[in-house]
Amino acid sequence: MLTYVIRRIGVAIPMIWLGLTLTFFIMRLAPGDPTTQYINPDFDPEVKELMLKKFGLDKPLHVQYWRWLTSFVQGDFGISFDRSRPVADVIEDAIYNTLILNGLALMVALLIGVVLGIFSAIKQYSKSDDVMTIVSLFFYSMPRFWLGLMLILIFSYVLGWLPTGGMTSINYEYMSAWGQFWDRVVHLILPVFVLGVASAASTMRYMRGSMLETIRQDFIRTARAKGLSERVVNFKHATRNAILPVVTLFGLSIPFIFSGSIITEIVFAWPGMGRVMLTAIFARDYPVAIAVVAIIYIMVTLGNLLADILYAAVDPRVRYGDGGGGE
Amino acid sequence: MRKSLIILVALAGVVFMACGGGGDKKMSEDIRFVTMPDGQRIPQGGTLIVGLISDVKALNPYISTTVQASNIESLIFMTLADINKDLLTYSPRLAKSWEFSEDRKTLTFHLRNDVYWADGEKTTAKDVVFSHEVAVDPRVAWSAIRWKDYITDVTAVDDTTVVFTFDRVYPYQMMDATVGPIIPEHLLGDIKPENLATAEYNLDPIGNGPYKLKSWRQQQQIELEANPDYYEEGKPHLDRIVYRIVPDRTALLTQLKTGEIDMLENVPMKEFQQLKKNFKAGKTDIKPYEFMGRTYDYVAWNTIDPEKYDPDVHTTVESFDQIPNPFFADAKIRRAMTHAIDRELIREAIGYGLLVEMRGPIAPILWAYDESLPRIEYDPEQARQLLSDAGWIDSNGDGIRDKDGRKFQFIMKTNTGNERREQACTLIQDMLSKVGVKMEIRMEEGVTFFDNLDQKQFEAALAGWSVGLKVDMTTTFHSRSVLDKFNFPSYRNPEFDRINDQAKFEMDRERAKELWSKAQRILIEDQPYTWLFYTKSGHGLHKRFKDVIMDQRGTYVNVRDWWVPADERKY
Repeated sequence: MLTYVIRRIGVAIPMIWLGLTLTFFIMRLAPGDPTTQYINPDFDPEVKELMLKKFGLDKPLHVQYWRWLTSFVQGDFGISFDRSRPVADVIEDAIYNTLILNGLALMVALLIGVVLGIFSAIKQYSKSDDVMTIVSLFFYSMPRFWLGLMLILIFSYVLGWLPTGGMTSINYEYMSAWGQFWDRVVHLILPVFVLGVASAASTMRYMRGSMLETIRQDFIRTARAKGLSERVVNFKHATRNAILPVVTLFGLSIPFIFSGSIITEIVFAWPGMGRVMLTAIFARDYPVAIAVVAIIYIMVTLGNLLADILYAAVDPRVRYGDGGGGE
Repeated sequence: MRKSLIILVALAGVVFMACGGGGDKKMSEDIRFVTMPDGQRIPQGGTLIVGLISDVKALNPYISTTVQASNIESLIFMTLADINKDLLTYSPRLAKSWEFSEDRKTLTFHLRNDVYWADGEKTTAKDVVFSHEVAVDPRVAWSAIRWKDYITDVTAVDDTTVVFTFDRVYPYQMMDATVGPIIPEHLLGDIKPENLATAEYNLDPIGNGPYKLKSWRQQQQIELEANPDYYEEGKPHLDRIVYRIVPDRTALLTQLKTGEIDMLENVPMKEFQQLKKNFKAGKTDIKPYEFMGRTYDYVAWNTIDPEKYDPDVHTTVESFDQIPNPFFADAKIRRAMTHAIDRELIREAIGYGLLVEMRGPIAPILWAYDESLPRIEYDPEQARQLLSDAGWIDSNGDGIRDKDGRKFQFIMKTNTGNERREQACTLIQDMLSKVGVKMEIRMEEGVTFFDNLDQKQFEAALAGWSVGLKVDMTTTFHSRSVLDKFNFPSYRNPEFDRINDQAKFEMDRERAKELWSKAQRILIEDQPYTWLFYTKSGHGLHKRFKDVIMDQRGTYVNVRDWWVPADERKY
């Protein structure tokens, strides 16, 4: 197992390097530079040259690449052009915010998705199955920004129950500890719902399919034949097996917990990674953009790895050999 | 007497608690009043919440570059003097008074003696000298560095006297001396100029203005609180100004309607018109504020052929000689385009009453604006005539004019994300097709679009300018700027250059105005741009804020005077 993990990481490092190198050059070859946004006659052309020099963008591309690579491997992501502070600081704030939002959303999605999926499979072709199928399809295919805006319209504008966005209220600093906690919860409800419900819909479809496949298998029939109660058969024997593919899904979702969801973060004014990435790209803030891409690459790789490991942990049929053995 | 005062205060407190409802008693329990010179008693306190579409990058006036940031900085820092509504005269601020020398080559400022930085240090003439040094240091790369070009020396005579020396006499000496707020030497003097951009200070500035930074949660909110040590007459009434960052326009508008924010600048025109109607009908508490803004939109016609443009040959202004554009190198054709574009219809169709006619580049807010400039009327017949005279005729009857086997067909570029420009493009496309000209529209992402303008890679472009407070057309239309960033249509006319240079240094205002009109007449004749419209600004602010003035100087020109009746406060 350990050898397997090491081997996988060994393959992943050159892949990440290749991906980042490509990203680096693609981004530099895109039109414009960080100063292009200052389109104002008061902005002197000479200042543009000065700023490019300040950012180190006056050097040939290969020199810039080498500089970036050497500092990157040392863990130095550079200084953000757009925000005038270390990239690590910019990302640190954002990643924490994104973790809260997307982590919660993922938990909600898995929980609702798995439970409803099981239920829907057990009651296959019943009315409630039909309703759940339609509802899940509805949420799955609905664009998130539209859903977000509709929920804001209903719950914030018409009913006035929930805030329209942001992480906290204006007077957050003046609240009691309990008030602060509650304020945070209230601000999480809508965005978590919007992010969670779409993934819950797909998780549910996934779980339902997997469960249906499982309950038709021989060992379930055997269990039933043994006289075990329906509840034990469904929830103990079938669910444990049906949930395996969903575990993989969890591993594959990890990158998104870190990279954030651009649209949802913008609609709900949530200062997370999605927003950081988008503004960095528009502002041609290369150091931030590439650092975000790097995080996503690393997370995708780790997520895949984790999915494989989890799979092995829960599925007795999968075993990774330690060098000599087969799988 | 004292008893009744206590009762009054207690009553006011009860009224507030009854109306305010919620856990913010701590902030507003004690209501203070100030008696104005006209006898009016104004309650002190209250919070203004402003919605911003994006965060600012730094709160150091010499590092940040956006209007957004300089608006906030204008509350945290002081300038030597504040410009008045006429955009020509000044009111005292850090400087109590000033005078020019006999030959107008030196300008002496006398500073207040009671202004302190938020850390307790006094603001002195040394800070003024230091701020100038930062402003002109190329390593800092301040965006308005050129404004200081004619200032040769800034000296502190004593703690409260500063002398600016100029190498020439020109109308904007006062403006150039006062542009750029004063920053503290004792906190920034030890930082190397090239490191100023990343100084910790930019995220936690210590200023001397009416407000000071209380907290800044990146990408979430910036909170300012009234500076208790601000000099007496200048003290603001509002306790707090909070900027909420909401990156989505629709969400911002919703927040304005739900009352989560009190103010939104530049409400989209359609919504602004709706807001005006609703406010009149008493259906909303958001009061519309409308005034002449600082931007205009135009179509720029490239006079050189973008496909054959080679930036590596003729790299000096004198030798600049590129292949002319087959369509727009000819001023007659550019005039024909303007004749064919019904600008009035565009204003009516997409302006919601906020677009104003514009004939030349000098904005209606500036002193040199001339109402009597000639107008190129909408006249498609005239356009057809001019095109035919230039040899562009529809020889094969396909509806598109051609000449020497080349069709009159071109691409107009504009940036994505600006609905107004997209609509204007569509209207222009239709108008031009009526005179036998085929135009395609290409939307480009902002940075890409401006980069293409910079590289002269366009045939026609619909873009906009933000107008400066100075009258000057050098950067946009002078031949000297043909290789720079802003004369992207590569417009050149020696006669225009001569008049522009003369007008710039003309001290007699009447004479200068005549010269600027003359320069504009040349531009109107040559039409390097088709001027489409000047825009008015429309801001929405809750009506509980009183004594609000907003004009071309900005949203916060008199924010120190804004106040809220005690019983209408929310926070």
